[in-house]
Amino acid sequence: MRITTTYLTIFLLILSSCSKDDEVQLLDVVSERYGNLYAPQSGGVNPRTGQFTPISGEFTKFSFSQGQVTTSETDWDVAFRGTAIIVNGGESLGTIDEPTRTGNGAVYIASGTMMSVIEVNLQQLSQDSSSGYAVPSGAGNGWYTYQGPPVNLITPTPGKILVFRTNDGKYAKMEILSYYKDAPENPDAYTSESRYYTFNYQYQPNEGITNF
Amino acid sequence: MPLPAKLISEEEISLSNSSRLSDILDDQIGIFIVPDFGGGNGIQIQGLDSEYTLLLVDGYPIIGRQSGTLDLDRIAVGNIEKIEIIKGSSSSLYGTDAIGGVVNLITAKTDQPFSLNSNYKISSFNTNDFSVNIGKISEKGHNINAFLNLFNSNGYDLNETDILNTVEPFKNLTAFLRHNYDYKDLSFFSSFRFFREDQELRLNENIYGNNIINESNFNTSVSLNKFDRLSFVLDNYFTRYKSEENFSSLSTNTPESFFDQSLFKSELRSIFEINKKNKLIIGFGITDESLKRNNFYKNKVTQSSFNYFVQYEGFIFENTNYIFGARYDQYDEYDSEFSPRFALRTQLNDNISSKISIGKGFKTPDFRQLYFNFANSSSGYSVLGFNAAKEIINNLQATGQISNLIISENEFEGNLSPETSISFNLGFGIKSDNNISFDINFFRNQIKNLIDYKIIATKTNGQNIFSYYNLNKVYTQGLEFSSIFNLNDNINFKIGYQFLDAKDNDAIKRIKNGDVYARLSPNSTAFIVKKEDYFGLFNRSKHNINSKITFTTKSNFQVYFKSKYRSKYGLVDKNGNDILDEYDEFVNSNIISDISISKEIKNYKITLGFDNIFNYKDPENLPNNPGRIIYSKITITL
Repeated sequence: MRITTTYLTIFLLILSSCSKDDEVQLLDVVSERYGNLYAPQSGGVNPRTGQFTPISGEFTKFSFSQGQVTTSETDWDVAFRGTAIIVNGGESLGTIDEPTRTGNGAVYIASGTMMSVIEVNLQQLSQDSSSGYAVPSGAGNGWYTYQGPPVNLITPTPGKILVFRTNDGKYAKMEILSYYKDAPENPDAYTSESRYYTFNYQYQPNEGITNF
Repeated sequence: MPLPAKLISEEEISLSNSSRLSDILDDQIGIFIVPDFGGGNGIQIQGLDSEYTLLLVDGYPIIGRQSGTLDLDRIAVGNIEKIEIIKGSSSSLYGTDAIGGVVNLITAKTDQPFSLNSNYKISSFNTNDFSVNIGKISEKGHNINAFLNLFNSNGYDLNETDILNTVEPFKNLTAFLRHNYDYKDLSFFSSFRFFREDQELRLNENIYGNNIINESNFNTSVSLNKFDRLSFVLDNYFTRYKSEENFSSLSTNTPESFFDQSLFKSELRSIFEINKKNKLIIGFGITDESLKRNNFYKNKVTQSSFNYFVQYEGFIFENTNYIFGARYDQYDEYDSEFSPRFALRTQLNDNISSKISIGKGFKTPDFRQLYFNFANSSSGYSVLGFNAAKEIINNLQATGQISNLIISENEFEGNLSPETSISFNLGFGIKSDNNISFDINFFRNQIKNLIDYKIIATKTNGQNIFSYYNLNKVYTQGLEFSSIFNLNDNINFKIGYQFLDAKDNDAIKRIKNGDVYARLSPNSTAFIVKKEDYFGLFNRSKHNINSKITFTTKSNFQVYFKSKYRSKYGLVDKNGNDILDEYDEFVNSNIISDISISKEIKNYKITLGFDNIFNYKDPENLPNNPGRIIYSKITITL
């Protein structure tokens, strides 16, 4: 009886230690806020003359794994220029200064809150292409709405969560909060500096896991 | 009358001391005068916008809705004897646009061989207002009435930091002539109205000029009363509204805008009096409309329509009368409309009466919604009319200017449908012997096929192209209460209250499904909007209270004090979820009070008054409110 118990104890110990060895040490999901990502552009519609010149200027690249802006030509996931958002995956639309896509990044816009979007819907992911970005451009189509004159404000549409596949096949989600410097309480299109992104994001650093 | 109607008497018009229709209507319960972004002050009745209200002078429609709103400041009331306001849909009688209501101005017709009334009013901002009204009945029975109003103002500025004024200086003139004459079995009525306004126009330091409006209306009406119980009326009406900008400093980037609309209407109706109490009206008409304006897909657009109508007025019992009416409007460009209406009134006893009315209303798409071709020069977006969109998009696609077509090809097919409504009104009137009366009316308007714009494509410059579609369903409902109380011979109270609930049916559905989000501030994360957070349509106040007190002494001295309360309302969706919710910004509730003191001496009346005595101002949200106004007026009546 005693021996049986001992054996059982040893057996259980082995079993438990074995399962401990099998289990991959999971990394914690990263939840962060990033403030004042500056995404300047040149060209566009001149508000004074109404003349349109092609948009140009470097995109500001961001890497979820590093949790910061990067100038790397390959190790980036998402990039911003004015209101345009691109991913490191797919093809270039061919605008001036647009970076070459080197990774397998993709994105879609989910309806919901950071709390409610918990599972990546792989079927909805799409990449940039020569006919358009995966995050649609223009007010009301993608991540923001535009309030016309006299307010002229760009407001991130509440309930839009950008869900990303990173350049190396991991997943992240992002809620853009503000397009103005220091995310002011009451932005003013005439005095607040624009093209400064503030966003919340969550990054799932573990390979192959599609929830947060 | 069984309809939910309201009459504004000549006395009330003169009490308001204003010569503009906007001011008179603003004094009425449940009616708001709302500034339009494109300029002009429009009317809101039962929570429905200016576009859904028909304005008539002696039964003939006023045109010139440059951006949908009919500017009521344009209409002088010095020759108006009474104003009839019929609330709820009345397309059964009037056809298109009569969804929220119909405002009919009835011009004065003298009953004396000679009458003259003239007044002059001077008020703040160097505003001068002069009117003269002459009536004459000739020995042969010609009844002629002539009216002239001259109005000018320096305008005002609520924002001193820029070079532009909130209202630039303007002057206008209104002339009106009417003639009535009976000859044997024939009665003739014709009138001519003319309006001209010249307003300074300034876009910036370098671009300035003026904007000129010319409007004329001409009608002739002949009735034949030859037969015992049968009579015929033939109406012909022509009106033209023309507005044009002239820049004296022409810059190549600033096109001068123009708007030139005309309308011809002809109608024949027969009236058969079956007996003293029952009446049948049958008629048909034709309408021809045309418009030339800038930013249009075609140089000139035209439209003709035919209509047929029938109305029966009768009694069921001694105390119950009713109206049944129906009208069919036939269009080429869109669905033809059949609009019935039924209304009934019962006198329950000496003190209580009740009214019920149900009817259909419609509004055809306006020319802008069909043929607009507008590109904003400063931010680069475009707005296209439905009928123009397909060809313009095809051209843009061919030249590689479209980056993304958002709607499918088949959404360009077919026609835009008229907006339609079903309106329901139930009212009670209570009169007691001791000088008190109450009126209460419940209303509901359910509107569908509301036309709004949506994004149809994105241009390669990143900007959107919008076009008009039948999108929304909205409702407005509420109750209106009014009471008159004569304390004694000297003091009279009038009080009114309206509760309004105006919402978008689709927004309610989206909220129910949990598809609408908001955030408290740009620093906080988004959350789902709850049903009770939805405030309703933009620019609608839930509560409105009006009160008027008149105090008159035997020596013809009069004090008139009135106040209008409007509860909070929202103008913009600040948090980008397309609806107005509790987390958006609101215009505070406000009270505006006016007082006037007048004294009559023989044929003269002298008035001193203050509008907006407490000087309430909100430059950002109420550009049509200049603050306190002081005025003085002198009236001569012969």
